[in-house]
Amino acid sequence: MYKSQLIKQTQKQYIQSTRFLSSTCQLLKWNEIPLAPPDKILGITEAYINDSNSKKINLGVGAYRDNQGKPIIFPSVKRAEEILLQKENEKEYTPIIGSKKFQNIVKNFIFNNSGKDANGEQLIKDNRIVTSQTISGTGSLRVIADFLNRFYSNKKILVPKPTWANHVAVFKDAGLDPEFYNYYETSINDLDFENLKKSLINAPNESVVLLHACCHNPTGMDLTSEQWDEVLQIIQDKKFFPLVDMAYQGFASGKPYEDIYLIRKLTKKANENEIPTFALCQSFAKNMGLYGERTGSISIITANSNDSKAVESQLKKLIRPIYSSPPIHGSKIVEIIFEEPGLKDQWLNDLNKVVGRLNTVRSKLYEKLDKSNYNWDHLLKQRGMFVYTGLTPEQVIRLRNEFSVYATEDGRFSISGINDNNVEYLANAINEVIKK
Amino acid sequence: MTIESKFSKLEGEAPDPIIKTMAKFAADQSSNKIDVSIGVYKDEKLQPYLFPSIKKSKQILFENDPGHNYTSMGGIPQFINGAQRVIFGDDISNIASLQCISGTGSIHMALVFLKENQFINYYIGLPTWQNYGPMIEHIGGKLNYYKYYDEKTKKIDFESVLNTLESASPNSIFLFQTCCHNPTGSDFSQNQWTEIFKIMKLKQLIPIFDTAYQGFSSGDLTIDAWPIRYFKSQGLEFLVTQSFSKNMGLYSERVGCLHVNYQDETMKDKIQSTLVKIFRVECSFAPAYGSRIAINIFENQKLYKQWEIDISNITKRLKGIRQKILDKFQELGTPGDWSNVITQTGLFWHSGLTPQQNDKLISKYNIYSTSMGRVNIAGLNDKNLDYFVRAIDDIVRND
Repeated sequence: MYKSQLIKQTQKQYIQSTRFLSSTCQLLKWNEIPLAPPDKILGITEAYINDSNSKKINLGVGAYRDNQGKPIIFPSVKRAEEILLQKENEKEYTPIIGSKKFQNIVKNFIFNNSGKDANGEQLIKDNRIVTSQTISGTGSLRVIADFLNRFYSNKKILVPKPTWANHVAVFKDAGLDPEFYNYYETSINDLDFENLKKSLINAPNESVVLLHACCHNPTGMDLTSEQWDEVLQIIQDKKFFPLVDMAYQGFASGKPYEDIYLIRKLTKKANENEIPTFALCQSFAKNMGLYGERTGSISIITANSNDSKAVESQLKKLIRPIYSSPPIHGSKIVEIIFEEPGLKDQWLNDLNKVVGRLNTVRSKLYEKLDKSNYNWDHLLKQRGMFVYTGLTPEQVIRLRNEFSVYATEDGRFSISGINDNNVEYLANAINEVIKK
Repeated sequence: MTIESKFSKLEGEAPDPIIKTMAKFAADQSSNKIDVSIGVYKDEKLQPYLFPSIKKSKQILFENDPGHNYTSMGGIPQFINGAQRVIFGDDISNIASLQCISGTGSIHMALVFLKENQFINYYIGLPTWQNYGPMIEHIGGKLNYYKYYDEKTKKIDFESVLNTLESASPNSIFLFQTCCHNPTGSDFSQNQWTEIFKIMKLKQLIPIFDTAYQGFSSGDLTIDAWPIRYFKSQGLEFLVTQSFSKNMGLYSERVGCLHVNYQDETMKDKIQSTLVKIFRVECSFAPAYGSRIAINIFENQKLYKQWEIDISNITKRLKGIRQKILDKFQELGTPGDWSNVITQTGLFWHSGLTPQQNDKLISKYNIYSTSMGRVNIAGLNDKNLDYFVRAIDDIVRND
């Protein structure tokens, strides 16, 4: 990741240095723009589409597919859209930070755990949570990165190694200074908790630290409750600013409430002023299947209601010149799901089914893998949409070339692309490439 | 317990003045109150307006639900293609496009794109839409202002425009509005665009055509796109920022597109990949729903025809009100020249009233426009028009 960032830097400098030499000819005006590297995942999808092998499998995309390999519409979402179609009669602008209704739903659902978190409830009551609707996950990360770059004392942002590739790109582009902390060790296919702690302790005080709430992307390996306690103590001692990214709420256990004990711990620490401020990026892309509708939020937990007022006004000032106001189709679906009697339970049920299938297919893959050559136990520890196989780039390329199995070269498999019809084929292919 | 906050140095920001005006309007109990402030079209009953073509398209989309999967990072191809054709007509050669978060989002990405190429020197004609300045400051651009509209003559100050173009350094960017200028309603004539083009070509300047109201000037999408198609036919590189907020009434669905017109065919991949790259670190994908409503319109001839009729009907209503306002002024013999109410086009009439007069319109008559005298014509109908003109008549006479 850093390598490609460096390339980008060099290209930028190159632009600068040639700028004054550039032809003044209008025809050449755009010529200084370098070709941007294609997105790796999209490249894989393209190659997959062009492959004529009927057994081909796409394990690149982080979106859910059912047991037939098809994308789904959550039945609860479809029902909400039906209601929306009947009652919506205009599309006038929503406020810059989204509707109050949407903000309150997010606050209550996540921080108050729908009435089950006394600390979160207190924070809401004390006006210590500012929430804005955003352009899904990326948009929320971008807004908070811009915000921290403007108003936070430190530009250093610590991110787990590895992390979602776009994290580093977004933070850098916004002017922050990302640095990895140890997280996962591929040689043992496990969390490297000792070095994780060490690298955090050695980082500068008051850094921003990025935490994945659950279903760590790309490794699927999360911290245990006890491990979070230790990490939060370090965060508290080092006066870090925690930035939580929660893209997969519900994808670990099938139950959104059970997946976010990190948030429970943080609301407690915020309420007790041990970690007085933090921020949370969240989206409904995965857990409602609203990917393309771009529905998410950023919440900033402040030290007091006065700060909240200032933070909210600055968030508005920040968002207005970027995109003015967020798109409503997805956020209205969320509002209806939470408001319409019975619909929320239906959604929870839909979500549980989706996660249930992923877990089933995970076990099936594990069963069929050849464990005599390779220890696959990490498969069962990992959670969510991904299997972080630990396969080498060479093995991944062999899977692609010899078996039409498409995945990113870091060995991350999106298990939603696996189903009853191809799990055996896939397992056999993997067993082939790990043969010694 | 007070603790030291990491954000305690933050100062609050005053809300946008139009937000204040709208809040005041909402709290106003008068039955005579009139809202002519925010730039949203209202029907003859002054209600929010759902285009018949859009209503139909929503129904079709619901019945042929494509789901909510991720789209592609440059935008949905059918949307891009349709959006290009609305702007450029049949000749969509040498255009790279990016689906964006409506008008603001498209302009923002245009500024970011130009910054990638180190172009950050901007010229903005005044008065103008108040978000341009903050948008340029947001990306670290340099702002230069010039006089666009002369309050005395109630016309575009074309000499000022030409002088500014002449004096600008190469690669400076002029942010123009294609039609229905916000807030003055005063657009360049074809002759004026021709003159502008000559200087821009000579001086190697870059125009951005911000296109928020295509169709609302003449009632015809093609006629309103004339300046863009002219510049394209003459061979100049430029950007177009396109919004379907107004001309499809899709405001909050955030449907828009950025188009980059380039001369050298070999640039296509570089420009397109750069657009995707800069969007990836801000949004990743544009929202799908609104653009799919637009796709149904683009791909269904009957619906497209209906959409054109919808736009034409809206423009007819706006032009009708403008004429009635002028007639009323003449009937009352209101002092001053009010003819610009019919020469200006689109949603807005730049009344020329002073901020004090506008305050008085609120306090005495419960009529809410923006403080700069921007009147949204769509806030008027046969029932309140008489009251509105008489109020201005009174305020002008008794100033």
